[in-house]
Amino acid sequence: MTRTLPALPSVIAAPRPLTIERALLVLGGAFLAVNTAALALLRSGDWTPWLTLIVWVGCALIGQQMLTRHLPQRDPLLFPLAMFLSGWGLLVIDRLAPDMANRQTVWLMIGVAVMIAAVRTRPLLHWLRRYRYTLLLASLLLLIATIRFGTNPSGAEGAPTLWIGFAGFYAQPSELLKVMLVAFLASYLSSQIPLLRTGGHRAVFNPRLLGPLFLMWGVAVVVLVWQRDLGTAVLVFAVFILLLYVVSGLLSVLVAGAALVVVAGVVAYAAFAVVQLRVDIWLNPWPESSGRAYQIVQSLMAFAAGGVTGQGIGQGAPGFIPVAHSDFVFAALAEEWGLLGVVVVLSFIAAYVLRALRAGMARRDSPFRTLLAVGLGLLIGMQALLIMGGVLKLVPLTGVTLPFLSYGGSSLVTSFLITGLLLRVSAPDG
Amino acid sequence: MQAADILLFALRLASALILLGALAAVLWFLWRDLQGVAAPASPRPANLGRLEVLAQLDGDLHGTGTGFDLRPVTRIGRGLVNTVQIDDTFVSSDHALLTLRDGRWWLEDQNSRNGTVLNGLPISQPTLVTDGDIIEIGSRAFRLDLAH
Amino acid sequence: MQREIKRVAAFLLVSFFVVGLAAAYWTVAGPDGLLQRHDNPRRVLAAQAVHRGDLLDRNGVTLAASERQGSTFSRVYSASAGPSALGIVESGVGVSGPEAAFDALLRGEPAEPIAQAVRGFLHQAQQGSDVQLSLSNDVQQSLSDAMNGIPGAAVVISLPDGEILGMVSQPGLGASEATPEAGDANSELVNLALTGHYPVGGALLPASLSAALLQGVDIVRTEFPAGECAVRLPASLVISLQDAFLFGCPGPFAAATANIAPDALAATQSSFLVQPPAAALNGLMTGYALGATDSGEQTASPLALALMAAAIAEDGSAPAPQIGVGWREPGSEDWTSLVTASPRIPVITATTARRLQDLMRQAVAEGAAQNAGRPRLDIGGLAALAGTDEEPVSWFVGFTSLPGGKGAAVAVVLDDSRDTGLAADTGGAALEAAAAVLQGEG
Repeated sequence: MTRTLPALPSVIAAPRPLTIERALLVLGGAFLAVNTAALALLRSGDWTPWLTLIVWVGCALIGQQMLTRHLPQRDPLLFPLAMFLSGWGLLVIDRLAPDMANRQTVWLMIGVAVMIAAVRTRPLLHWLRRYRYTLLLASLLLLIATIRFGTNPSGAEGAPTLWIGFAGFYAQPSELLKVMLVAFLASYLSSQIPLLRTGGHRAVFNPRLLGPLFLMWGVAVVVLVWQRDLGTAVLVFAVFILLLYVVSGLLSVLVAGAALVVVAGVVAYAAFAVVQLRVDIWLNPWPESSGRAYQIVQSLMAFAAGGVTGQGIGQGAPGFIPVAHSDFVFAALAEEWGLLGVVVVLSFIAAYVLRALRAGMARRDSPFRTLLAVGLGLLIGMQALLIMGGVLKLVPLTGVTLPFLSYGGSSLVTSFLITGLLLRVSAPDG
Repeated sequence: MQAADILLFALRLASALILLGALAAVLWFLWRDLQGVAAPASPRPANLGRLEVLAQLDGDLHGTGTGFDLRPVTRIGRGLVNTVQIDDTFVSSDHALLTLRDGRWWLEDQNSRNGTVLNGLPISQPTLVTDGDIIEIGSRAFRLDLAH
Repeated sequence: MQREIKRVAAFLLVSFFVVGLAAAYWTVAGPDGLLQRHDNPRRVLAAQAVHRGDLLDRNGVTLAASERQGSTFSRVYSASAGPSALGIVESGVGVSGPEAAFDALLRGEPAEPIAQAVRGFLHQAQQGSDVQLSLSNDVQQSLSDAMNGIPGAAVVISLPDGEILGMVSQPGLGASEATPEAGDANSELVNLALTGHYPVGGALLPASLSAALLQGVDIVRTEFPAGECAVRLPASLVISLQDAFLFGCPGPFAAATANIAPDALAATQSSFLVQPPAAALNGLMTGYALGATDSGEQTASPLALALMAAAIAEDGSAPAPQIGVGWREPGSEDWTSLVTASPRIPVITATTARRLQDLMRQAVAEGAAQNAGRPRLDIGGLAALAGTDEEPVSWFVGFTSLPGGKGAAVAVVLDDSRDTGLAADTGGAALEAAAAVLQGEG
C-alpha cells in the first residue's frame, strides 16, 4: 500500500536557536586564542596565557553540555555572551596584572560551577521566593559582619573594608546582597501585583502594603552607605525604583525616585568627602589632572590613545591608569581594542540585558520569574552603565565593577549566578 | 623584529574581524528574534497542541504534566536541533518527524536505530496520527494532545 | 507589566547608546588636545621609542648613536665628544646643544603621514635622520688631550667659513657618564665654549691696541711700567706698548689710554667682542649675552674671542659661526645641506687687522705665546691673564693661516689658572690638528 504524503505547509523548518550559542562560543574561543597568541608572542613564548584559554574552553564545553541537559529550551544568547565577556575580562587582567590572572581563572571555574548548580538545583527559584526574608537577612548579616571583621585585600590603610577573607580568597558580601535584594523585591512585589495594579498611588505609597519592603530595602541601603559602598547603594536604589515602576506602571514612582536621587545626592555631597571628590573631579578634572583627577584623566587618555581600531593587546599603555584591572577595565580595553572593542562590549552587555528582559516578559505564567529576570537584567545593565559612564566622565565615578570583565571573584561569581537564574527563567520549564 | 611586527598586526586584524563577526551574529539574531516577536502573522503563537511526556508507573502510563509544544514540523530526536530533544541513549539523533499536512498530523520514522512505536505497533512508513495516540521513542513515551 | 518592561528596555538601550556616543567622542573627536597634553605619559613612551639618528663629524665619524634597549633606545657618545659638546637627550628628546638644535631632524620629523600611519599600525620605531656636524673628531680629541681634564673651555673654528671644528667644556659630562635625570639643572651640562662667561682681561689687548693706534699713539716709543703680564716679568721693567702686547701686559695700555674717553674705549672693546646673532648656530646661542663680573670686568665666551681672532685673521670681518653641515634620511646616502648663508660680521679695518696679525705672529715667535708655536705652521696668537688674583683665568686667542685662503681660529680659557703657557700649548695643539684636518680636505 502506497500513500502519497500531502505537501508540507509553507513554514520554514523549525529554527535552530542553539546554533547561535555554539557559533558565539566558537567565535569567543577564536577571539581569545588570537589575542592569547599575540600576548604570548609579546612575552616571548610565555605559555601561561594559554592555560587560561584552556580553562575557558573547558568551562564553555562543560557549561554548554550541562545547560543542554538541564535547560534545552534556554535562551541561546545569555551563556555565550557571559562567556565571551568573562573570557575577554581574563585577557585584559592577564595583560594588565599577570599575577592576578590565575586567581581570576579559578574564579571563572567557580562561577561556571555556580551557574550550573543554579540551573541543576530545581527548587532554587522556589526557595528564593519562599524564604525571601531569611535569605535577605542572612546576606544582610554577612554584610554587617564585614563592618566588624571586614578587610581589604590590598591591605591599604583607609581603603574600604568590603571583603571577608578566608584562606587567601576574599569575598564581597555586597555582591550577594544585590542578588538577594532583587529576589526579595521580585518575590514581594509579585505577591502584591493585583493590589498594586488596581490601587494606584494609594497602594504604592501605602505603608501597610509596601512597608516591609521599604523597611528591608532601607536597611540594605543604610548598611551599604554605612560601609561607604555608595556605588552599590546607588545601584540598588535605581533597580528598586525601576522594578516598582514596572509593577505599578506609575510614572510618579519614577518622578519620586528621581527627586530622591537629587536629595540624596545633595546630602551625600555635604556629608561624604568621597562624594564631594567624585563630583568635583567629574565636573572639571583638568586642573587636578596630576592629583585627585589623575585616574579619570588617564582613563580618557586611554580612550583617546585607543582610537577606532585600538593599539592591540599588550601594545598600548593602559598601565598608566591606576588599578585599571578593577574599575577602569573598560578604559584599558578601549586603549587596546579601540572603539570597535568598546562598541562590541556595549552591544554584548545591552544584548544580555535585553535577553534578560525578554525572558522575563515571556514568563506570563509567573510574575515572580518575570520580575526576577527584569530585576537581575537591570542589575547587570545599570551596574555596567554606571561604571562605563563614570570611566567616560558622563556621570560621577561610582566604585562598582564592570560585570564579567572587571577583576574580582565575587563580582564574577555573582554575574554567573545571575546568568544561571536568567537561563532558568528563559526556559519555559525552568 | 619585522616579522614579529607583521604577525602581531595580523593577529590584531584577526581579533578585530572576529569581534565584527560576533557583533554581526548577535545583532542578526536579535533582529531575527524581534521580527519573530513583532510579526503577528508568525505561526509561532498558534497553539497546535502538545506532546505530553508519560511516565511508567505500576505498569501503566501516566501523564506527568510536562510536555513539548507542537510545531508544524516537529522533529524528535537526541540531537540538539530537534524541536523535541530527548536525552536518551536509545533515541537516535534524528529519530522521528511529526508534520502537519493539510490539517492532519503525520508521524514518520527517520530510519532510527530502535524504531518508532505508535500505540504499541512499530511504524514503517508515514502514518496518520490523532489525538490521544501514544508514541514511544526509545524508552520514552508521549501522548499526542492536539488542540481543538 | 509588558509595556513598562518595554519602556525600561528602551531607556536602557538609549543609555547604552549615549555611552557609545561618549566613547566615540573620546576615541575619535576628543584625542587631539588630550593626547598632546604634557601629562600624557604616552608622549614620553613614544619619544623614547624613536630611533634617533646619528650625529656624525665632518669626516663621517660617528659622534653619537642610539642603541636599542628593549623597546626604547639609549644614546651612546664617542670618546672625543660627550654630552657637554653634543647636548643632552632626555626621554628621547634633545634638550640642549646640537641634540636640541637638530632635534626634529634626529627624530625624523615631520614624518611622512602614510609611512607614519603604517609604523603606527605595526608599532615600529620611527627612524630619525642622521645629522652631520662641522665638528672634527681629530680636533676634539687633541683639544681634550691637551686640556687633560683641566677646568676650562676651548673652541676652534675653521676659516673662512666659520664652521666649528671643535669645542670642549670642562668640567663636563664624559662620553661614558650616564645622562643625568630630567630636570637636573647641572652646570656641567652647559656648553661653556659657546655660552660660558669668563672675564676677558688681557685677552682684549687687541682692542686696547687698536684704540691706542686710533689715538695716534706711537706704540713702539711710548713706554710704561710693565705691571702684571701673561709671563712673569720684573714689575719695575718699563716696556713699550708693542712689547706690552707681545707679553700680554694690560698695565701700559691702561696708562696709555687713560686720556681716551671711557665711552670710546668701551665701544672699541665691545666691538671686538663679536656677538653672533641669536639665530646663529641653529639657536645654540639663544639667550646668550655679554656680561660683566662683580668687579665690573667685561666677560665673554670663548666663541666670542675665537671670532675676534677670526676677524683679525680674516682682515677685519668675522664669519658667522656654523655647526650643522648636512643631514640624510635613514638609509639614504643623499645629503641635504644645513649650511646657512649668513653675512660676515665687520669688526675692524683691514689695516688694523694686518697690524694685529703681525704682532700676534710675533707674540708666538718671541712673546708670551711661544708655547703655541708649531713647526711649519704660520700661527699668530695672544696669551693673557684675566680675572682677579683669587680667581684668575688664562687665555690663549690665536689663528693659523693655511695655503689656499684657509685657516683656523681658536680661543682657549683655563679656569682658576695662571698657566698661560698651557693655554697657548692647548691652542697650538688645536690649531695643528685643525690644520691637518683642513689640509687633508684639499
